[in-house]
Amino acid sequence: MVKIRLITISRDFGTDIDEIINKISKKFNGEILDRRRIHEELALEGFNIQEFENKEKELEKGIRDPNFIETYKEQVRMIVKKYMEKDYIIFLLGRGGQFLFKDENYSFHINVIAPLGYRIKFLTNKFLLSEEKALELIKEKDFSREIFYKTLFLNSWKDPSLYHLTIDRSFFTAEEIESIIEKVIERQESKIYTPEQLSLPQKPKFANKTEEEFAKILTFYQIRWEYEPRTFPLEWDNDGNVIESFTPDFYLPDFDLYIELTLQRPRVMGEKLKKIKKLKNLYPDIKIKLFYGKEYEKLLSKYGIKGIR
Amino acid sequence: MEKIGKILFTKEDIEKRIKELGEEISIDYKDKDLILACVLKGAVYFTVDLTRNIKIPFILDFISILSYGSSKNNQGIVRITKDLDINIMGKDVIIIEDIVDTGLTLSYLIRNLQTRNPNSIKVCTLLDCPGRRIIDIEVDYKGFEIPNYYVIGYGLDYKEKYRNLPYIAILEEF
Repeated sequence: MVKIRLITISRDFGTDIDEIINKISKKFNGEILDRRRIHEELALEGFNIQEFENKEKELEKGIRDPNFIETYKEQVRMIVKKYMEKDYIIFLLGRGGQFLFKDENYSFHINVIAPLGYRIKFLTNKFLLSEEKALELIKEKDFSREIFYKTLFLNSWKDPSLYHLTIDRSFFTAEEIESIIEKVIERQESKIYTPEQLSLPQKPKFANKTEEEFAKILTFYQIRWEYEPRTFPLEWDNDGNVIESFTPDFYLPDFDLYIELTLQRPRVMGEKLKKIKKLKNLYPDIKIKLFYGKEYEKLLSKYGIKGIR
Repeated sequence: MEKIGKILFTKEDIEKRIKELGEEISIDYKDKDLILACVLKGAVYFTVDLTRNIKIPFILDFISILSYGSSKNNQGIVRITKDLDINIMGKDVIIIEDIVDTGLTLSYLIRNLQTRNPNSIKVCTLLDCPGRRIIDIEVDYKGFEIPNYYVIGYGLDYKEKYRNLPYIAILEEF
């Protein structure tokens, strides 16, 4: 069982998230690693911090020094692991944590974003900047951030697959964000759920290929459908047991409409037609449409579906 | 292979019916902010002739939708490939179709246009094929009702051909 030990926070400049993280970290006796702390650790390791910072600035300008890039990645990883050994929960702010620890099952990656208006407001209030200056600063920081990650990891931080969770800062209060992140930390283990565990919709077992094609057409036109959601009893024996029933192929909830499809020719369809007649008698409020034989073939051929009988 | 089959509606039949539709629309939309939204490409011929028979002011615009089976890859969802250029908010819109059959395309189009808050949306189609209808859609103005035939001509195509026929005929495949 692997618990979450590392939370990486990628954030837009001007999203006011650091204070929230600080609060959570204190609550869980965690350790925040940001640019300043990383530099302090590097200084302890004997690195020339001024030189290191200069090299980082070069990354923001798109200058690639392969040796420095390797050193950077290695050192950030080492520092994070050093703190993890102390059994702290680590909050890594920026530094490319979402790339460096992408596939580590002990890590959880959060991306914090906010609309431009929110970011400007935050900066003007917090740092008493003019709106123009705040906007200028945001543009500058966004640009250098984009270049930094592209140079360092050859990828954009905007790639949604890098994150387990993206939070729109303008949508939640600080307390709500704290609560969300705390729930992640309190999870007993870090695991990826299987689709079955998450109750994701399963692909229905269509009776034949034409039904599947029909479902695809409905989906294409953004029409919600359900496959065989209801069976209508048609006949009962004296004990009340259902001895005959009918299950239409599709139900379109937005139109309250059932659809039955069949490629059978009309002459061999007697049984089905009888059932539909019974259905209409017993359930007069039910709307059902039947597409069969040549008519149904024509319908499918309209959408380029041929020869799937 | 395919060939032109029986003619269902002659040039004269079509002209006469379009004149009637134009007069009907001219009365119904008198003093209204009418926008004619022609669905490309099939409805172009019909729309042009219809507009010549509408005696009130209107704005003409065009819209085009990706249809299922029109691309090699059928995955994904319907989308507008050419949107209206004008804002229809508060306007009275008539969607002009060449043919309404399954109602799937039209249902999407109506849902899409309704989000733009027009005053009203109605449908005018040259041909109505109710036998093929999946989604029940009210057609407000229809030229002709047809059985479940594959038809060509007067804007309706088979693999992009036959649109220029001055009449509407059944397509025969063999």
